Amino acid sequence: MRFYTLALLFPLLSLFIGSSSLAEKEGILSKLLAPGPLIKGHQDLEDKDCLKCHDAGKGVPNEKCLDCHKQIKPFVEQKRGFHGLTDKNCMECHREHKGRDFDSMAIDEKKFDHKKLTGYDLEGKHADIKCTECHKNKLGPKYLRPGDTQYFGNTSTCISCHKKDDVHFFKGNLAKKDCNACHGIKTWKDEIKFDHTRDGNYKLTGKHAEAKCNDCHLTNKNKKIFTYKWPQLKTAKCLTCHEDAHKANLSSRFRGGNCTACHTEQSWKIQTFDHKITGYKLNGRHVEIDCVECHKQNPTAIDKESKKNYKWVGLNKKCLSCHDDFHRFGNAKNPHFGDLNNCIDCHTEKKWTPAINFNHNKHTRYVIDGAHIEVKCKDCHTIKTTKMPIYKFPNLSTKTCENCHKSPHVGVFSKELLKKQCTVCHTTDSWSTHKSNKGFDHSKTRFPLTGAHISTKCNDCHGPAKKQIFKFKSADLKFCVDCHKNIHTNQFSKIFSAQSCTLCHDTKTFKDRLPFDHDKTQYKLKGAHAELKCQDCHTPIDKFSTVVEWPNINKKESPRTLYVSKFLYPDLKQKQCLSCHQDYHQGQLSTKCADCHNEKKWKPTSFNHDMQSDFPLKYKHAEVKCSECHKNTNQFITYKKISTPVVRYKPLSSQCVDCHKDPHKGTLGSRCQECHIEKGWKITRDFHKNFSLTGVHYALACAECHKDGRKLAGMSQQCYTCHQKDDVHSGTLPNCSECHTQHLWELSRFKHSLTNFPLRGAHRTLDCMTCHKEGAYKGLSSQCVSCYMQDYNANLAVTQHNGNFDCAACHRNQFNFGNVQ
Amino acid sequence: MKLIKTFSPLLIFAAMMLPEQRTYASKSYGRFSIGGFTATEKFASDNFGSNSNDEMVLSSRLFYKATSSGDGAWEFVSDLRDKHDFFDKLDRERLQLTDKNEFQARQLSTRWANPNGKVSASLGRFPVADVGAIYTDGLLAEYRWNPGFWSSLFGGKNPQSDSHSYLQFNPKANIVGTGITYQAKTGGWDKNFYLTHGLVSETYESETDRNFLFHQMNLQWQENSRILSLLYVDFIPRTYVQNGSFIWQQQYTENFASELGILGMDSIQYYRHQGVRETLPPSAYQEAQAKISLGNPRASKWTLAGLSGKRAYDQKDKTEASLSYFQTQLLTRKVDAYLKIGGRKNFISQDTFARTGFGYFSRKWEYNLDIEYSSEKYNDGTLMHPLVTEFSISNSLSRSLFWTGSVQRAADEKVTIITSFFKLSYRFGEAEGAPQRDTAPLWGPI
Repeated sequence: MRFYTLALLFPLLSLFIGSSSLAEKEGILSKLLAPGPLIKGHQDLEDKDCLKCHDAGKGVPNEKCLDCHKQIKPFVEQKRGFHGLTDKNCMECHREHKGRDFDSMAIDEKKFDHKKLTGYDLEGKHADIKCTECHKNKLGPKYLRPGDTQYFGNTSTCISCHKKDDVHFFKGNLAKKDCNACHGIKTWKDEIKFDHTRDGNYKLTGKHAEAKCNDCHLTNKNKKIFTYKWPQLKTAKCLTCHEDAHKANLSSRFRGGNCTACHTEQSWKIQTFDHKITGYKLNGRHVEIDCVECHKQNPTAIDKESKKNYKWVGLNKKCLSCHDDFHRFGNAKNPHFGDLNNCIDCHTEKKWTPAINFNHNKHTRYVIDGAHIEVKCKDCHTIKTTKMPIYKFPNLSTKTCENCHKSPHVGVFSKELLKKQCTVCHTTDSWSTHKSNKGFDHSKTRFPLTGAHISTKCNDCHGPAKKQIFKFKSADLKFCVDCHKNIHTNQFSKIFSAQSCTLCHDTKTFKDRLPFDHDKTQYKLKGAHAELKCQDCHTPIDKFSTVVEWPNINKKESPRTLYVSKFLYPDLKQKQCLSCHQDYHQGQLSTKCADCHNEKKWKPTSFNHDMQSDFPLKYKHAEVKCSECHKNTNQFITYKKISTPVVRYKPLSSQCVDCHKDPHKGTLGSRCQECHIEKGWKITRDFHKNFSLTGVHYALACAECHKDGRKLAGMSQQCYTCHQKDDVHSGTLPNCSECHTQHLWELSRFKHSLTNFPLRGAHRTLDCMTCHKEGAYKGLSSQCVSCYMQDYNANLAVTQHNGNFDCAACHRNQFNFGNVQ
Repeated sequence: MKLIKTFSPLLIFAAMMLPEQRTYASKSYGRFSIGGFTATEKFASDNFGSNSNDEMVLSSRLFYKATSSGDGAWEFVSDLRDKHDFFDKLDRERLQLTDKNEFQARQLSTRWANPNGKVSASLGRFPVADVGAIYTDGLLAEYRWNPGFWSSLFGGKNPQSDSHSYLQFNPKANIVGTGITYQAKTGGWDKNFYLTHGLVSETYESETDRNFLFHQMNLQWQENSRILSLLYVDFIPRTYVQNGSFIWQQQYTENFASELGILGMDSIQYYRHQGVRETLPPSAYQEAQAKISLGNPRASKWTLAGLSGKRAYDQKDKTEASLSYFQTQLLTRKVDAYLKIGGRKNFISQDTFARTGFGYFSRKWEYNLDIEYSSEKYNDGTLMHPLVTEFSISNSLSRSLFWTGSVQRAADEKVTIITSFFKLSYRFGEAEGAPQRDTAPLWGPI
């Protein structure tokens, strides 16, 4: 059909073409021959020769398309990108001759497989974003949809889209790398492939590893200058990045970026510093103290917190470089030590005091002993007037004590005595300690000094200067009362009042008394009394308290209050023990304490409850504590601030219920002993008097028979009282005990086999009442008819029954009466 | 297998109860006992092809009582009994005796005790103490006028049947009754007064089975001086004393006492078993007793006793005279002895008898030897000489665990019977138990 059409049109076309120019003729011919108008972008080609695009007989080859669309050609040739990866010809997608409005570049975004068609997989966030977020180019005006998205033109590099996200601002070779060399596609920040050690030739450790990149690489924040190369790193070291805070305030060996000598990458703050590298090793206490204890802060420093302002240079190894010259030795020298300011000669670094290397006795001419050991250095080595130290005592060879001490004897002792050195009489142990046999020897007097008298100052007894007394009069009383006031006036009997104080006291101390033979008194001490302290009995009493000025001659010391004790007991014979002891029984018992107590030991007493009371303790009562019965009263005896309750002993009832709880609640009276005995509350001899419990009765609870506390006295023979409904005899055999025992009710002393009619066979299964229905048991006939007369009468038709009562002659089997033989 | 079947319910129940008594109540008490006896009887002469007539019975019992916390307002009591008689059922087809088992809930009740109030109530199966321990499957209400005086009203089904001795639920048997009781709340054992009266009606379907009046009194005005009375007056089919006793005991001095008693009884069973064609004679029996005691029961005592009775059934009588002596703490404080001799006319025989016994008592052990010998001359000329010897041992392993056993030999000219018995009793929970003795007790009538 098409052929015929062309055949008709051909002559007409020939006429038409023959009347035009060549170009016009080609255009016109093309239009005439074209199957339809070209798309808008190709509309200019409609005036061209068809062979501009078409090959004769071969359609439209790709090469002709690419001759015009040159920007696509490299992709096709290199087989990359959307156009390079497809195996289709151009025209298979970009159809033509469909008219001006035909969209030969239409793409269905929803069905577009980006990975398959472009080779670029949309991973991670890329899969979620709109196409236009990457494909931002717009189609030009010659396209059908000018201003719409132009997909062509994007590259697969990250930077093509993420240029504005670049925070590195790399230059040089680094800038040539695409972002994905270091970053992952799915998560930009978490999939960092960059290794600072490998890729940056600098291993980040410690705080460096925690720092942000820009902390180092943003070298000029204001100008946003990034630096990634540090050519001076090897020479400047830490100072490449860090500021030199110390500058000249640091030894030269630690300058020039040698920060790591002190600091570490872990922390700028110095954790451990080996001071040894400074040439001064820290020992002892130096190790423990803070650096700034020696390296003081520069007083002019503005930043008080920063340690860079502390003094890190200028110190030397000498102690005084840091420490004050405490002793104010200055330039003083010692033959033994040399320069005294060389502290280490005496002190150690471990502990400043005491100066363990200094030995006063060894290193000086003066031996320190006695009381001097306790004296502080400055007490001697300080000039009291000028407060200046003094270490040289030139007169030490001629005068000793006088260098420091002032003699109190001037004007008192004779000149001859005063010429002598103090050490003739005194020792360094104590000023009041005199050397025996040297100087004044008190033992050559009538009163050798012993005990506390040795340390007593002379004028305490002999009085102050110019009023001294050296001869005392009471030689018969051994001089005690010449100095001491007798506070025992009228307190002792005449015998002891006439004796010296030394009978009881010695010269060591008045408090500690000498062993006193109490047997010389009217009351000999025995037992525990012999072990008591005197004051346990002879207690201080206010009545005799007095203020005693002691010593009575010299009033320099403050008077002390002494309490005197009671020594005389005029009513001893009458009150006996109660003269000293409190009556804890408050008159319940006699005053003859010795009846129960003895002097050896107050407790336990020798009280015999069985012999000395009206209630002998037996069995369980002998085991219980006294306090179980003898309860405390509301009265209290207070002795030595301890309150003791008075125990009730008498009068005390012997009624059981006064001590024991009555489980019967009084219903059985108060004479518990009628049933119970003292061997144990649950043991009794006379319990259940007329009804001896044995067998099953012994296992019963009381209340099972004594319901509601019911008393059953006298009911022992009346088993019926409790067992009425256990009685299978229905009361016809009231004397249960004739046959039954308490052990087991089913076991009876009655044996039917002992009667004239042993129960055998079927008779064993019968109820008693079958035969004993009259209530009679004894004396029933053993003849069968006595029980089976009814059966006999009912079977009179049986010939053998006629007048014959010898049933057993035929009914020989007891199991079945009807089984006649 | 039969043993397990018989006792397993109780044993399992007991096992549940024993470990912990406080689970269900603040205070509980119970005891479980199991015992049995076996008797071997050998007859001198062959009788119906056999000369043996053995017996064996195994029985167990579990009693449990729980009281609720607080004032003890609620109580729960169960008394379960099981008895297995190995030769007490006739297999008529095989003509031999087989074993028989009887299980019964003797008591299974709960009680609202309300001790501080006036009203209390019980529900379940329980004995009514105020009317002679009549058992009832029903309800009991009590009203306390004051602590020593109360009245009661009860009603329900009658678990007792005249056809068997154990209790079972009888839906057709009814029981209803009322009681009034006075119990003097006096202190001490010397004086005591207890008096109760009750009226009970028992019916079976529409028929009145029994109507009776119950009376019981215990009046004691001084130690060992008392009057005891017990009376059942039945009104069906006529008014008569079904059972009555009156005992007067009088202690004159410490060493001299007397006792007088009269006893009268009839049998209710007698009428219940009466056939329609029977005209039964009366079965009443009356008896009078008298005793004179001389001596101190704390040491030794002589008792002279006599009785005389007569039964209406055959107008036969019974008389007895005996002299007994008992000595407590013989030689040692732990041994006592007993001797009784006498003679009697025992309805159809003339007997002379002697009985003696020895007992040893310590806190944990108790031994008893009892020997009784008789010479019985029957009216038909037969002369028999039964000798019954029994030796028993009791032992308290603890306050909770107790066992007892005995061996008994009974023999006369016809038969020799050897009976052995053993029982174990375990008590648990909290309850006042009987005190233990450590010496021989006074010789009691049982």
